[in-house]
Amino acid sequence: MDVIRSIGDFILGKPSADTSMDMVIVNVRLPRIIAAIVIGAALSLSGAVYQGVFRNPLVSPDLLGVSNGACVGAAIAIIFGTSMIAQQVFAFGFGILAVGIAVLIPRLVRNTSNLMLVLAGIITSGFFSSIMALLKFTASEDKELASIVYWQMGSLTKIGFGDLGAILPIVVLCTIVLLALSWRLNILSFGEVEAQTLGMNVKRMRGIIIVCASALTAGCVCISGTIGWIGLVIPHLARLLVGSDHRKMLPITILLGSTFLLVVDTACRTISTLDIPLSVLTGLVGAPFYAWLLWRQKSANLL
Amino acid sequence: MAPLETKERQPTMSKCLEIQDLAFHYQNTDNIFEGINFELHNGEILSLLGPNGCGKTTLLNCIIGLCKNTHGNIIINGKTELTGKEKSQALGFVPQTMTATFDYKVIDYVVCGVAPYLKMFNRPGKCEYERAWESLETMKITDLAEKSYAQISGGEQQLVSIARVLTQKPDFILLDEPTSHLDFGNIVRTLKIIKSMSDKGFGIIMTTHNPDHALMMGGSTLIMKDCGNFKFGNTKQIVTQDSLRDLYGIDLYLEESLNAQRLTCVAPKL
Repeated sequence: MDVIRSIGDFILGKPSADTSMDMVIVNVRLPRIIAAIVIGAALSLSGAVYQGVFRNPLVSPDLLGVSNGACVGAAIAIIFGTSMIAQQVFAFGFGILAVGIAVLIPRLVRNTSNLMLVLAGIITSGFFSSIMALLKFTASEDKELASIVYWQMGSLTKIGFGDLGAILPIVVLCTIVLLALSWRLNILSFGEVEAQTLGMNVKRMRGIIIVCASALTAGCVCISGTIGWIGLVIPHLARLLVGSDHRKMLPITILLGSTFLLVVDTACRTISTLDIPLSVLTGLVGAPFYAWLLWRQKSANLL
Repeated sequence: MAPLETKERQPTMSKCLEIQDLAFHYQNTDNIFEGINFELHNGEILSLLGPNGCGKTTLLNCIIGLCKNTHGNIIINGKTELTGKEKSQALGFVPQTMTATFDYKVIDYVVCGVAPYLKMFNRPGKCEYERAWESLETMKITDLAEKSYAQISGGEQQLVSIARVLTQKPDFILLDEPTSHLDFGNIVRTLKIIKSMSDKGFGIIMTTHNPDHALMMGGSTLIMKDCGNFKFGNTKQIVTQDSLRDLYGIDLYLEESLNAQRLTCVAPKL
């Protein structure tokens, strides 16, 4: 009851009765809850879109290296001690760069099969995680290294309204664009030849969608660090519930993703007195869950 | 939702595709094919015969625009430079097989044929779904509408692909080996449907590995043996016993079948 009143006071801009409690609820809990919803939605949507564009249900944003790339960008920014905005710009830029490299490799080898793309993603991720290791090695132990490690484990603990405000425009814009293109995404998922003969400018459409999806992931990673599994697992669950049609499946993915991360983050906060890093729990929950989904989908003959 | 642009069907027998002196090679390779000339009119069927690796699919890819021809002209409805949208309104494509990565309902798959007529952020509405439904009715497969594309048979998938191209309402249709992967009954049924599509005024180009299919379809045939070595003309005149023996490098016989009342291609005793 007190919680609701505090939030109500905050929204209405009233001076409040219990200041210390308001402090906790409004400045610590509320941004964290909003962050869980926003980031859960964005990572799931990004994963669903990737899987559609690359016609591969095993692709996740992590697999193409966007997270590792964004981490490298953020780590560079941390080491050079730049501002929050610069960190975001770096994380975003390197995230896109990593995906760009992952997409470029199959073209260079002249084999654009799904398998080659997955391999290219592994190459890119591996390369960027090596750079990451080098950056951690060179970082000063006390402050920079701690920031970088915190980044990589994924946490919503330190997110404030300022961070949310910074990524929200990107997230909202990209989400709107992707939802608006959901029918085109169906066509793109038929394959390049069919999409082209249905009048689509495949390169441009693919470019727009990849930029938006990568921006979503990069935007999340730069305030929360890497959070694994969501982008891979949630789209599968959504497909199991409403089918593959992206017009239905993308909104459901967003809903499930935000719920999932909100629940997991609440668990992280309450299971022990220490905050468990997010990626630990998403992995512990996500991996068996994914195995179960694959087992379910096998009976539906989708893989 | 913006209403669909309705398109005037071209009067029959107008020229919808003309290929002039076409050649293609990949980077650092010799020409795959060269000096290809042919034309296609509305309501006409063109069969494309040739052994494996002669460049049939590459030729189709050039016409579609997936490969850029290195020489010559592709003239569609009198124009050489078409935007992707114009091209997809003039030309429909039925791929060999669709590997379904994701699972869509048949009706949702068929409705994608309207894509060339919609703006980028638009989605198909009621009117577009009605058009898709009409295509299913034409193909007599309305019972498949709510089924999932991945779970219907190969023969049914072929019919669904054709229904989608009907929804697209192009001037002419390319079919890449429409009968591969089909059983004998479905092959004959599919050929019948393709023939009836040409009667409706669509120009048809189909590739096939079976000379019998070219003979059954009539119309004209393009025989591609290897680079620069091709024949184009009336099927009756150029699909002969000698030309087929030369093309496939085996003995075979063209015989008049009394029961089928047509010329058939028969392979020799093994």
